[in-house]
Amino acid sequence: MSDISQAYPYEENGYTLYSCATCPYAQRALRAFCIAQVPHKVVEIDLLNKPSWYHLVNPQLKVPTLRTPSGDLLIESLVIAEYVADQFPKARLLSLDALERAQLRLFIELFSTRISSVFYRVLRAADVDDQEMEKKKLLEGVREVSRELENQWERESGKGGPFWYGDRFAYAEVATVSFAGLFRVLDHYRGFQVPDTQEYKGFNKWFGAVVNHPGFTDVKPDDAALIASYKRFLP
Amino acid sequence: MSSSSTTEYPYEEGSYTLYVTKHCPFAQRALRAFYAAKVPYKLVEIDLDNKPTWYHLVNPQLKVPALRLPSGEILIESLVISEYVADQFPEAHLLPTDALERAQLRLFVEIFSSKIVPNLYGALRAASAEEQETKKEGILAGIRDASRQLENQWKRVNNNEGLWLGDRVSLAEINTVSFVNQLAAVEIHRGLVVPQSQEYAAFNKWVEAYSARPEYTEYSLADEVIAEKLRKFLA
Repeated sequence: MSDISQAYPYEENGYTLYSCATCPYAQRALRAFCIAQVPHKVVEIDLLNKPSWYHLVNPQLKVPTLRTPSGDLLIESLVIAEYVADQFPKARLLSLDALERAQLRLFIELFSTRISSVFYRVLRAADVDDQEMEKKKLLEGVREVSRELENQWERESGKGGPFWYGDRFAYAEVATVSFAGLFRVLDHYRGFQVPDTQEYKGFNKWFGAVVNHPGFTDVKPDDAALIASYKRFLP
Repeated sequence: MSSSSTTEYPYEEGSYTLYVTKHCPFAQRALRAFYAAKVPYKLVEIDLDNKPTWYHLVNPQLKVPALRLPSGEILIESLVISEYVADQFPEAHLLPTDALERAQLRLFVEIFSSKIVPNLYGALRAASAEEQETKKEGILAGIRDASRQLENQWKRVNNNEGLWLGDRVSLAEINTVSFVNQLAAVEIHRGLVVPQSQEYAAFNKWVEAYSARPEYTEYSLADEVIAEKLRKFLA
């Protein structure tokens, strides 16, 4: 690691990932590197107390940011994850087939708009009626995602699941599991759980496999730290 | 073309069918991608103010664009569709093959999606002069960001012809130019002026370069037409 008297700390001739363990966006980048087995240096950024030099890395002061060995800086979690997939094709993070890629991108978009975004609204909702309304929307989203997973498992690239690419924890999981991991937070603050019924079968099968896979557990933040970090979203 | 009924929808057998509204900037991404890749397709025009009863069979979200593949699958989301075209027809070179170059191109497109487009509609919708000014400044900040990225990019490719990849139209233009076209509405209704100064020079050069291209002119709309179409957003 370079001397911190330089403009900002980074790993000479290597990848440096500026990250925050509890941030679900940063976890996407971390997981991409871990699944692809690409060596990288992690520089932890305390989002509530950002280092004075961090604006040199990312003027928007967000995580994650990636510094490549050539000194280029990349932002945006999915741009970073896709860069890893493109740069390290042997890891097979992402299919090369155009239609399969498109279907996977749509799944990530569905997950993001129907689950991840709604999750924050459940936390932020001030009164119980609003919380219940957002919880209902969230369950609707989980059912939609469930159906999409089941559609995918009938395709050749899905081959019966439990992950998007069958038995491989890959790009679809890299992009989504950190948000699925937030259900732990919702359970704690809002008593929310996904039912174990038919309509949620796909999601539960997927998530059941996810929580036991090192792709998830290796990068998962500590439960207590995660729960504490979301307190600030409460009304 | 197959007949339409309550359980069917019109499409071209054995070919691509693109469901679009020609003046919709999102749909134009798909139109320009197909044009640039020189891929034949059947165009089905959707009147957004009077949607056909069958359109939910194509896209349950009732938005344009939507793409039906020869195999029968349907794709939605303008960026997913244009990227599908880039992946499916690599000989059209709509995306670079290098991982870092792809990431940098994606980040350029992201400026428009995240900074320029929301402020564009925000400026039209804003009721007070103060809010309008804030949104206009948001647009200009996004344009300055785009200008800086163009400068950095041209140093990298060592090419001075004005397009992102120098002399060739790519997703950098396909995914963005329809929204620059839309800025005419903010110019006419809200007095937005993009300066000619140094900070905007690269952006202005890029606009001049792509404006001469048929990929742009085939689908671009006159300023007055845009201003009229977007009048409905005015506060």
